Amino acid sequence: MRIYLLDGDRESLARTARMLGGYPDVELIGSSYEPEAALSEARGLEPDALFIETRLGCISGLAASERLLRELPDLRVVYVTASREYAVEAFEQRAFDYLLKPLTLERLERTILRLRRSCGSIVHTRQERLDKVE
Amino acid sequence: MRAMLIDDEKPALAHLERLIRADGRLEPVALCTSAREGIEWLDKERIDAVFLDIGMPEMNGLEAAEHIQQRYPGIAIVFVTAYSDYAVEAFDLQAIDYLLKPIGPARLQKAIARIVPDSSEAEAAAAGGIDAASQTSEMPGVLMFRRLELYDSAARKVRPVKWRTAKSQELFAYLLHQGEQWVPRGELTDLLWPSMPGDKAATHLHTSVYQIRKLLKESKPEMALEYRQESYRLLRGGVETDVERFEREYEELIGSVKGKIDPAEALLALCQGGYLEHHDYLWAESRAEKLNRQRFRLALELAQEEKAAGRTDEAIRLLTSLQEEEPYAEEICRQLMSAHQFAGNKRLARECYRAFEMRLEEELGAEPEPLTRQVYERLEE
Repeated sequence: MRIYLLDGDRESLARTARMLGGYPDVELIGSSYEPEAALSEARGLEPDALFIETRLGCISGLAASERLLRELPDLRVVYVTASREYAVEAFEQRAFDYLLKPLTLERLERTILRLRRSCGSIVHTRQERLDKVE
Repeated sequence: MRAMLIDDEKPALAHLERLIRADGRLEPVALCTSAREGIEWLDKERIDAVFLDIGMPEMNGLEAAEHIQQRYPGIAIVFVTAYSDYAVEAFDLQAIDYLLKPIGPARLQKAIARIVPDSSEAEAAAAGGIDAASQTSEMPGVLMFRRLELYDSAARKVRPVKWRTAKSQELFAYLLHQGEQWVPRGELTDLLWPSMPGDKAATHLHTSVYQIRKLLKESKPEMALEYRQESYRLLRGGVETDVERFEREYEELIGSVKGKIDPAEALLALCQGGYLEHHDYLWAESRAEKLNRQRFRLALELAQEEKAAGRTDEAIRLLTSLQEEEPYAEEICRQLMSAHQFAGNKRLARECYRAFEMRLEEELGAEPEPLTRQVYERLEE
């Protein structure tokens, strides 16, 4: 699955990227610590999932992903954040998951498993649609 | 699909059950007042979704969810709670949604749409027969109860706004507060930058105006911030705030809630908190108090009508939550006693009086009013 990563903190960006790198089926298609650049890049790349911090300085992670969701409604948004305070809003937004920093391998593993199921099923339905067309 | 509801408070259960039935897509087949009872049901019955309170004695909702998740991983879990603090844990437990009490029909419908695949809210209305008026009545475009928020009606959710400065936000709130009236520039600078020299304050005001215009262009293009003859005004372009809707409908409903229980309930569900309470604006206080009194009166009248319509559970739920806000209000205590009596529960009615009496005594060194005492004494007869 194709993941894009956005975190204003370079250290934690590198750390999450490293942890994601441990999964052979995860393709980190891009990462950035700069929200505006990240949004326009992610828009073009259409990732399966966006891993994003809730606090990005000039724009909140929720507002940022909201903007992206308008164009990519199927995007799975996974918050990776030091702050608990946006979790209720994340539910409102139907975020895919909400992980607290420091991120642990064990918790990330569960998200990846769920992502596999979620992305896998999409490939499947696309295949089914193709079958129908034929 | 079959739903189970778990909450240790019966009135909360009854309220949720009614909302779920009104929606029509889920069938509430089991109502349980403890997690243990719920889990026993799950062993016997097929359940697709569990609505789970968190704060419960013995086994709390988080523990219950963990158990359910392990044993029946296919069941959708929706937390229903008065606390926002456990949402991170809810994600850990793979809950499908997290609803804050008090729940309104619109938010519940969103949650149900996540459980019932390929269902839209329009179908829900058709299935459940919610009256067209309450279904089509959209959320107002600007929310001012609790905190200032912009509501995106197309996306059916609050659109988070990142304010560059707290002053821009306050300016926007203040102009909304003034309706579509012209507000002199000097009034705005005095309010927002009272200790700053005039020319500097004017610069700040310009910057804030610019930011608001930019925001409106992006999020609410119908609205416009106008400037003429040293004054500003915010034109709505048809966008209404939740507070204005409340004030308008309040006038229509108060004194005639009878037969209009659902609209009154829907209106009260709009009040998710005090007027701009999150922001502590001094200028908002008197309106906040007025709105709070109105909400209170409407809720009291609604409770009375619920009771008269035989929905004593609803009445008691409403009065109990009002009493939490206003623990010394005599009127609430009297109505609560009467509602318990109506429900055939004199014991609870008496307990309600005694708890009230004790609270007044301990916390205020006072006694209940004679009228309240009379209601109590009549119970004894």
